[in-house]
Amino acid sequence: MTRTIREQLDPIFRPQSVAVIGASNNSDRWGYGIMSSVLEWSQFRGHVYPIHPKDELVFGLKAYKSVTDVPGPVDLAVIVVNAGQAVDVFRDCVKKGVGGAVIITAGFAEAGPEGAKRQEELVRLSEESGIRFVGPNCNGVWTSAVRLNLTFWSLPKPGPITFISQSGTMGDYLFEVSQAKGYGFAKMVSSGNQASVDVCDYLEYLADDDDTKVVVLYMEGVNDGRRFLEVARKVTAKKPVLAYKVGRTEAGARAAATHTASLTGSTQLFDAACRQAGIQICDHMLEMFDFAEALAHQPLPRGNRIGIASGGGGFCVVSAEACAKMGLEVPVLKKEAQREVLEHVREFSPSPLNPLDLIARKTHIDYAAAIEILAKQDYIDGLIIMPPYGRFHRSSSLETMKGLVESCSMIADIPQKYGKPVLAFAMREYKGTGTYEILKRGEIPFFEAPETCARVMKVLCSYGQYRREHEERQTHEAKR
Amino acid sequence: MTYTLSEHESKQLLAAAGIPIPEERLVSSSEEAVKAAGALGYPVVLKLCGRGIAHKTERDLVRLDVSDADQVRRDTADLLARRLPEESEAGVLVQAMVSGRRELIAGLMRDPQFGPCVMFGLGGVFAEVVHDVAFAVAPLAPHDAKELIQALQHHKILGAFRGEPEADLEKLAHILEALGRIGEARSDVLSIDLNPLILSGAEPVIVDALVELEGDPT
Repeated sequence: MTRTIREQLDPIFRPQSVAVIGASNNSDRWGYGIMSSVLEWSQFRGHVYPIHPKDELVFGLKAYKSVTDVPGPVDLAVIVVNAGQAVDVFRDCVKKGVGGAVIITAGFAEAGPEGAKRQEELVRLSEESGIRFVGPNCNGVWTSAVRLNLTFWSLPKPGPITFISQSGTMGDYLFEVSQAKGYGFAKMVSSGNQASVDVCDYLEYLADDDDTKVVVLYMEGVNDGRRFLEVARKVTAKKPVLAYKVGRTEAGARAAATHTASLTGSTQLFDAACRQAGIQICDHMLEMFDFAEALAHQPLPRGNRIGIASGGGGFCVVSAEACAKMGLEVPVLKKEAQREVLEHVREFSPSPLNPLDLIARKTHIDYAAAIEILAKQDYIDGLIIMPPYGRFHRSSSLETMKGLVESCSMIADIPQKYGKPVLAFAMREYKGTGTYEILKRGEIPFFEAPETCARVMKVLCSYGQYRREHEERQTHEAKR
Repeated sequence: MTYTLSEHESKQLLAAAGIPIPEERLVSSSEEAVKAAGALGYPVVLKLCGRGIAHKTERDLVRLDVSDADQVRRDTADLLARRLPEESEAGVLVQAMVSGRRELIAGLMRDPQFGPCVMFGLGGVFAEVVHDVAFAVAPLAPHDAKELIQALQHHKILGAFRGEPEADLEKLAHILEALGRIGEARSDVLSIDLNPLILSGAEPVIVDALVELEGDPT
């Protein structure tokens, strides 16, 4: 009986024991880096077995000459030997009956005919044994399920985003940047040549992975376009998928071909498949994680009508313009709502049409109250706001300080209370403030540019629309 | 090997898949052409029609807006005289002249990664400059066809403007869905080219069609 994709990939993403084949005490070797990732940049609590032909101890752990010598079961084998030995080592893994493998080693299909032959042999062994592997020619995996990190650099923060990257360095770099922004990851896979497990397999697995709330893809090519469309549809019916796909230019396509031996294929058809599958295409690598962060934490808007509020006019202007450019509406508040807002601002306040320039709010609480008026209108689907002041100052009255806390808490409750997304605009230094922490109780994402807020909102709207239409069709079909 | 059906055969294949094709007659002499033109109503279009005949305009094998019997007789004789030796089987296709200010293109192609895909775009004189085409992977559910139409950058051209009515989007979608169905059902159909697909008022009318097939022409 063929095993389900979950049974095939769980040993890779939820191992209780890991063997590092090619583990090394020599800091010039890749096997040293992997060992330090597993032991120092992970919080992995399972068994770790270094495999080394001569050394008795690696990183102070008892080493084995071959994976077949390991006394207990091995769920995951990480292979970092050189390309010439990789096939033999994988054969040992098959003999041992490991659960799955990550083959870091390079020198396969991306490196000419001899490498391609080695890759074919790996695939043959894998298909015969049913042991799936990540890579080869990859940079490893992070999985929050067992806090295991095979990539370098740092201990990733667990969270809802899963990033599948056909490039290892891209993965590392973006991982790093997203860490700097505080985004958390369920999984990260540097998928390399995708000889055994390809993007379609990962998608199929992730559709039912509860740790993953959003999937982010960096793709250089897709082998089976029709399967991609089919599995992507399964995932987007439950959770959002974002994709950056190279090959939009001749130069990019050429680079991808030599990088992971990918045929980039037709961009227009890829875009068409993404449209049909509800995948959000991104053309900015870093922003893709901003989209993911918002999709992971905020409710989906039911339409594209946006309310904007700020303690100052410039932000209102830029945000409104950015929204309009993205095809989002910024509807004028109805008279009654305007009257309500006016109760919270001083007499010299600008007209509260939407955007709301709340420079002249009476108190901090009035600021939040005016924003809540925007949120409760049935013709507003999402909010972009400037948060209340960040800092407390000792010269303020205690009453004012309490008001600021209360104000932030009111705003933090909006997404849950009204089922509408709230995105905030603030400079980086705001993240050090106490009020930021209060807003984060509502998981409100922060971005440094109003334009980013608008682009993020656009993605929320467009995935929201896909989900609504998809669900309507499902109910329609169910009725028939 | 691959070969191209004649325009007339191409349209018959499309019609069999439920795509509406305007009435036309294939004739082999001037007198038959006059009779056909009389039945279809003037003005008519005359085209040399046979297997493998593509690039009709470039070869000057199309006569537009032919408005009386004498002209039909002369043009038919002229077209038949333009047959190449290997085109001795070719006849003349007589069609009612379709006019409309908006020209579109649609088609089917096969991609090594995505399989049969439907194409839809703007046609006519500006098509090369604007280059506005979009694709969808077959099969197309009704909403896929509608989204494919909306995916054109300049889809507003299909709306009402300057006295032109809004295009019949249901009919357009129906054509696109049918193209996808052909792609799914017939693996021997390598490509289909509907060019142009003219909007005659609101109505999309297939004026020319070419189907490329895999296999032996006999």
